[in-house]
Amino acid sequence: MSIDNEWIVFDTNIWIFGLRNQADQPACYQLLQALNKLYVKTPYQIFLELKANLVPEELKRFFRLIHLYPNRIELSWEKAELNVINKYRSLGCKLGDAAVAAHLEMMNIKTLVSENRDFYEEIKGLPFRVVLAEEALRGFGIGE
Amino acid sequence: MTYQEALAQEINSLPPAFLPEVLDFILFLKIKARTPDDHFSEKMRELQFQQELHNLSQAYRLRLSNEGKLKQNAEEVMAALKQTREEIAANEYRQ
Repeated sequence: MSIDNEWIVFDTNIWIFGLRNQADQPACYQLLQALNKLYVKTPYQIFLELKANLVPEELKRFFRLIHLYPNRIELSWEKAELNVINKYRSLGCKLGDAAVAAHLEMMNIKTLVSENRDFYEEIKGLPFRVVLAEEALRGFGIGE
Repeated sequence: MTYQEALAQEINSLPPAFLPEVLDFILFLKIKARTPDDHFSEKMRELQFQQELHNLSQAYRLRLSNEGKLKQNAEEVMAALKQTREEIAANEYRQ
């Protein structure tokens, strides 16, 4: 199965572990290196989380980076709809995870790459799959 | 003096701080020499992308190091990210 031609979402943890070049999460940096070969959307909630973790100069570099591939890396400025968030809240999601899930549903995204295992353990019947960075690298043909 | 000798002399006369830029330019010329024109700009864009990613990562790591946060393990980072997520969502979607 390939995600080469499918819009996907990187959870905030993928971006942050990747930018940290975290020794115990090497797949995340490798995924960021492959960004220019993928189609990655960044929902508003995830953008706000990135913004909270980066200082203005880093944020400027982030924009410069993603603007090199505007057809492959997109930011969305739309807030998630409350009724969709509440649906995921009722399934057991925390508010923040529910907002991310609502974004994915509204954007018709079928793949979330995340190291957040809560999505696996707490929620049943998500309309998208959650894959770890390592799985994304191994199983979806990135870099092949 | 041959052309190559003159070139070497000019390079040697530069301050050491310029040498990384000279190397970058030589790399640029080498890639250009072996890459068809229609692929050249794409190759350069990819190199720029990898360089920008590296620069951003280095700047971020340096700041975290200065703040004493670079050695946090994945669990600690994840816990902080989850807290940030909830705080932002609570602010954005207060009902």
